[in-house]
Amino acid sequence: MSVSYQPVQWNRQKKVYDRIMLALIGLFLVTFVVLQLLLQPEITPETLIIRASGLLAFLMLHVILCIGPLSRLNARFMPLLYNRRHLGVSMFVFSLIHGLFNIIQFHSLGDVNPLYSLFTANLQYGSLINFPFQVLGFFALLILFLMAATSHDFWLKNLGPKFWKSLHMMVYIAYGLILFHVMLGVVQLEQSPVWIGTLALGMVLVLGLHLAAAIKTARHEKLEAKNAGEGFQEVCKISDIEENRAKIFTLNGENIAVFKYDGKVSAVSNICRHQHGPLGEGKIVDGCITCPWHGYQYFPGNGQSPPPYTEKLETYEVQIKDEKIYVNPKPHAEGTALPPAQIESQ
Amino acid sequence: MTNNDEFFIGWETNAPPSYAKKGRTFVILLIFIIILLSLGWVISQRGFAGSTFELGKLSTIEGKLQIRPVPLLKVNYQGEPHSVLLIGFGKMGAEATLSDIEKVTNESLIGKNIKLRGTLIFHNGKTLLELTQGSESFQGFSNQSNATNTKRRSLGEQSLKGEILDPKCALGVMKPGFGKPHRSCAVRCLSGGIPPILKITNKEGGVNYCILLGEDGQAINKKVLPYVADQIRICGTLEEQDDWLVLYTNPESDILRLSPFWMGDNIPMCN
Ligand code: HEM
Ligand code: FES
Repeated sequence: MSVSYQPVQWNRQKKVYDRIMLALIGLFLVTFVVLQLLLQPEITPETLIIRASGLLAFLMLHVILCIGPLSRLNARFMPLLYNRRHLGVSMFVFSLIHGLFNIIQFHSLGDVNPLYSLFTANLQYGSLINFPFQVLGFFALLILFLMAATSHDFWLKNLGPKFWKSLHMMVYIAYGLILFHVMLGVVQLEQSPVWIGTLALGMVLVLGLHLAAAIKTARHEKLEAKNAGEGFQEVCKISDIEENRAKIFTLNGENIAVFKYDGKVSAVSNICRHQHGPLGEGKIVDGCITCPWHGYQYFPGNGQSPPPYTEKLETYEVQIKDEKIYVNPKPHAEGTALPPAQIESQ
Repeated sequence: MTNNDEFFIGWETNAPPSYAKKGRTFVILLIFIIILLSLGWVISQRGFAGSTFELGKLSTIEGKLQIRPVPLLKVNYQGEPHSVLLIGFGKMGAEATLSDIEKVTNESLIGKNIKLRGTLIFHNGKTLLELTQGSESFQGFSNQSNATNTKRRSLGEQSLKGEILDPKCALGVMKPGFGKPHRSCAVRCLSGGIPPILKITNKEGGVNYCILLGEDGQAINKKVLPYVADQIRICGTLEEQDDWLVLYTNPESDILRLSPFWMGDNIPMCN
């Protein structure tokens, strides 16, 4: 099993990524703690730990959520996406520190089990304003735990990319829970415009970027072929595709990437076997389609990953007539070699 | 989609220059955001009480043990009686610890002059002693016998506005020891037997505290739990007992929850 994880093992860019991440985490912790001790030294160490870790995790969550749409809007943000899981796992660690210290501080050494207390100390579940906001934090933490625990590619393989992806889409539920956790909790105490403002700003940023990325993707999908139906369908002119690049088409519900390279045109499934990255936004490097997300590779002629890897894509038949490309949306079994359409040199 | 030849592959040694540049810009932006946010978040907090919990430092005090209105040690402080409320370890009341001590001494300590060792908590002129070491908090009898009988003064029927809290957190251990985030902790403390107090703030910002008891002087911890940390109005018979106010009330009928404090006005002391 180990070889198939090769593309996402340790490498220099990952190390650089992690070093920068740790430095920024350190920067936040040091600035926050130093400013706190200088400006409001009466704070207790417990509250300092709770607030520093909670706010750090909250900030990291925003960064994590913004990276996705940012890199869809501009591929040059892709390096931020590449090692996002380390950001996610670190965020979980700080959330856990925050949650544990809160449970110790507010619920332990009492007359009942701390976890039981978490759910029962405040029973105003019917009220919005008085809602037990800690419970929201607890469920968010649970989601973050599931995501962190399954973040390794081992789980991706064993759960299947589809299930894994749905599991990791739950980060949006966690985000919603945390927003309410903060609004119904500490914001009601602090009431400061800065706390409320940053909360609102963060939300606008996350929503706005997602919306912008969604609009861009929707435009992309307009590139669908005009005449749907059986058999070969015209998709575009040869000159519409750049050398070593692709265009993405949705034909009869099939998401297809059509690549142009070395005077040839081939069509494969657009969906990367790793985490469903958009292969059609990738590039042919050293003769292989290379996924823009984590660099998994496939031969354009047969959709197979170069040995020793074993990933395989569906392939599609391609024809060229009068400078136009035609694709048959009937998929061939994963890894089926199909002859590429040859571009006649003028 | 990028229109030139640069293409980022994570497992290559370097990102192409235009990608690396974007990454650098992003990191620099983050550095600014981090510094600005920490500053903003820190200075906009409402501040923390100047209360004290002498964690890790044990003090021994001498005085007369009373269990009415709540367990306390009446000490003589500069010629005046001063009540030091007794609290158990963690979020527990003092009763269990006191009965553990009585198992050791084999006699009732109520009304006796004794020495107790524990951790001091103090704020706004009120003092509490946490019996940190359980039955070992008992340090023997004291021969100081200057404690007088409690001076009681009736202040009549009163209606007060304020927040029900646990004295341990509100007067020292936790910051913030009030408000929404602290609600569940206060619930734990009260349900563990620490007597509920009402924090009242007058228009000038002066703060006082009032012990809450049932109409017959019985504990009403469980009955006030639903109101903890909310702004409430509460009616009852108010009494001054040495240096503490005590309100005898019926929690079933005489507590009214008010709008959250950010919707209402100040919390004037009322009558
Ligand atoms: C078991 C789980 C959790 C519990 C019991 C919990 C409890 C609390 C409590 C009691 C507060 C108010 C503390 C204060 O007075 O400062 C708080 C604040 C906060 N929580 Fe949580 N929380 C949990 C999980 C989370 C998670 C997963 C996040 C994700 C980032 C989070 C983010 C925050 C933030 C940003 C604040 C405001 C800053 C602060 O006051 O610390 N919490 N939480
Ligand atoms: S390499 Fe990860 S999605 Fe393609």
